[in-house]
Amino acid sequence: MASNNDPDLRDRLRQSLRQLATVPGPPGYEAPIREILHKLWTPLADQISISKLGNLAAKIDGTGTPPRPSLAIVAHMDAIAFIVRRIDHGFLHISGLGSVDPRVLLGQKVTVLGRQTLPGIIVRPPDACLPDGQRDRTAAVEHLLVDLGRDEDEVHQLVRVGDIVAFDEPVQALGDNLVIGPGLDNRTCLAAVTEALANLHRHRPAWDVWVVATTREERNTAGAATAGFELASNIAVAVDTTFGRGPSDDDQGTFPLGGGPTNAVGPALHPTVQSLLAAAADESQVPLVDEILPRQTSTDADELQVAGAGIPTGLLGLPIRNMHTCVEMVHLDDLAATTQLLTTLARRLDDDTLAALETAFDDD
Amino acid sequence: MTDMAGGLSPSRLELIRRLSEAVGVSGDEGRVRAIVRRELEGQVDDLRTDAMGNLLAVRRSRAPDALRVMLAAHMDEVGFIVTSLDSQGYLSVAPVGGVKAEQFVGKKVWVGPQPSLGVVGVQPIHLARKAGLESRSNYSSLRVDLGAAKDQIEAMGVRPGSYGTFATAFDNEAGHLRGKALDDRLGVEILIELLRRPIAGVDLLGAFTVQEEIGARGASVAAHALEPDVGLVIDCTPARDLPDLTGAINPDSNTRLGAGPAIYVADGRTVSDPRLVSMAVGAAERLDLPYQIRQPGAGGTDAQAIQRSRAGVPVISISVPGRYAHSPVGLALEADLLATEALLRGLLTSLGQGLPSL
Repeated sequence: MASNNDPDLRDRLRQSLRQLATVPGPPGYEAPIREILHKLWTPLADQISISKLGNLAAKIDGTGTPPRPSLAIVAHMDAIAFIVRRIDHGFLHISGLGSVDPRVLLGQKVTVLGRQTLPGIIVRPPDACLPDGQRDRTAAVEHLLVDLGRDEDEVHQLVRVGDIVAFDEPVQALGDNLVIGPGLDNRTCLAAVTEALANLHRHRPAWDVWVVATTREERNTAGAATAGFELASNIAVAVDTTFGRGPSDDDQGTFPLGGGPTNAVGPALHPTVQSLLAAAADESQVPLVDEILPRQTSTDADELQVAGAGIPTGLLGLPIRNMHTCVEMVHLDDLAATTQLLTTLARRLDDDTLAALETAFDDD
Repeated sequence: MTDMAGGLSPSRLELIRRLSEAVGVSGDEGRVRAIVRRELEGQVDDLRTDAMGNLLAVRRSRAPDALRVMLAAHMDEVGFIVTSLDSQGYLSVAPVGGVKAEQFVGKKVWVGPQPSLGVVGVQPIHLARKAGLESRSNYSSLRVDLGAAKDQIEAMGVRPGSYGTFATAFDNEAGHLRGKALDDRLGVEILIELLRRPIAGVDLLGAFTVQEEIGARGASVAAHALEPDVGLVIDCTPARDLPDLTGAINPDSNTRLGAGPAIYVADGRTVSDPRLVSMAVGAAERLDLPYQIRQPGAGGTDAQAIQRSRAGVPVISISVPGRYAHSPVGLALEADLLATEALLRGLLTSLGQGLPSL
């Protein structure tokens, strides 16, 4: 299996998830998670920088002769959350930052990042307080309230319209193989790319490698669009979560937990990069499943493909169940496989790779 | 001693935490019963579990003509019972008590004898159709996912007939109590406290009841055994004092959080004995305690069963107001809990002088 030659990898990934998954970082407000990644990545990088839109990029210098080609491994660091829209009698009205699911929010503990951090609960008001048309259906996020249990004056002193509300739910092990919690989209992938960065720092590839944590993916993917332009890498691989198969899903477009990450196939992805990912999986002896995406991918990959003069782009998908809930679920073997695959991919890049990219469409 | 200004002592908060986190769905109250039994062992004159699982704790007065007052608080909580385990290891469930399926969606649950952690997932919003997003969830589509294969789940002792409920960690901050099953573990904790000290002229007949949430079934058996002169029920009743979109607070809020103990005049099942209502109000005013009259309306407590026991028993319910009962996490205030306890103690003291005749 994936972690045969690194028996501690799964434990490190589990620990890393505990550290990363619950840190707030809604789209546009990624500072808390960026600070942690900055500390983790600085000793592993030859160069580290923060972009105008808040992307964090760590660079590994390759061993090849300059000027060296480069690979960008891109994972978004933002996580869905809420923003305070209105305060009424000490209750907060909220809107989603990112695509929050109104079905899973009732009785959810949250943290309000006001002048101090305050515990709150998301609640569905009694039917008498809901307008016609909301009573017999899932109440929209705009009709839910956050209860801080405090009186009106205190709330007005501590909370303002525009403050951030984040999920307050721990990350927990479920059995030996699974981890559950909020924020696994996309902190799982950040755990994997952090491990890959450490591997590449120890045993350098020929190419330069950028590991990038992007902002705003859950809102408008502006982080990836600008990172792609700025770094202008020869290859980009986005690493994001995909749909793990659960009890409520059919088997179209969903992937079993523990069955390995996915290799996205479709017009948004470059055929040479798809082949490179498949070859890296073979060499690493980790499973990799094709995920067919006939249109766009709804990930950073869509932006990377068209950034600047265009970047040959691939997309690795890590299956998680119950995406965008506080009970997202990931299999540690899939996370370990993603780490190993990314490491192998970077180390396999050579002059032949560059030639293959340049001649990819020559038979037209 | 109760110190209302200083809030609950660390040991009482710790007991409330253990009670709140214990899984005790109607019909499976053993974990709660074990906690209560350990608290009261050696502190009362008689402690026994009856044929239904009610825990009866009696503290007798020295007085020969003491009034026999039954104090009831229910141990059970709402949750679910497993109806089937499929080949992929997913559990189907049916509700136990009045809890809506939508409350479980996207939540962690505890299920089975250990109990084991699981989740109730949902098809991701990205894949769900509009109709699926808009319709309120139902039990037929709910699955509990333990992240394990069928044989592993069987080895955990989880099978059809296993009980489960929300897996919510209790927390306490700034005088707030946040956790599951505050209905009625707060009442259970108050009753434990009341039984720790004698009241002159009153035999305290404590009943930690089972199966309240499915129709006050335990209380009728307990009342039959205890043969009380008076029945007092300690429960946790909804405070639905939330604003609507125009900013108006719900006029049918039942009770309000922070307004003190809720005295029942009438609910959907029971009209309280008017003498007990007067005595409760009188005790609150004598002790300068905040109190509120629970808005008469739907709902019911163990009082409905105790009132009809044998030849009849004068009853009243007094509740701690709490928001979001029958959901993953409720919210109550330490101040309301302490005032409820103080009011009950005051009412018991009054009852030590006897109940006025009709």
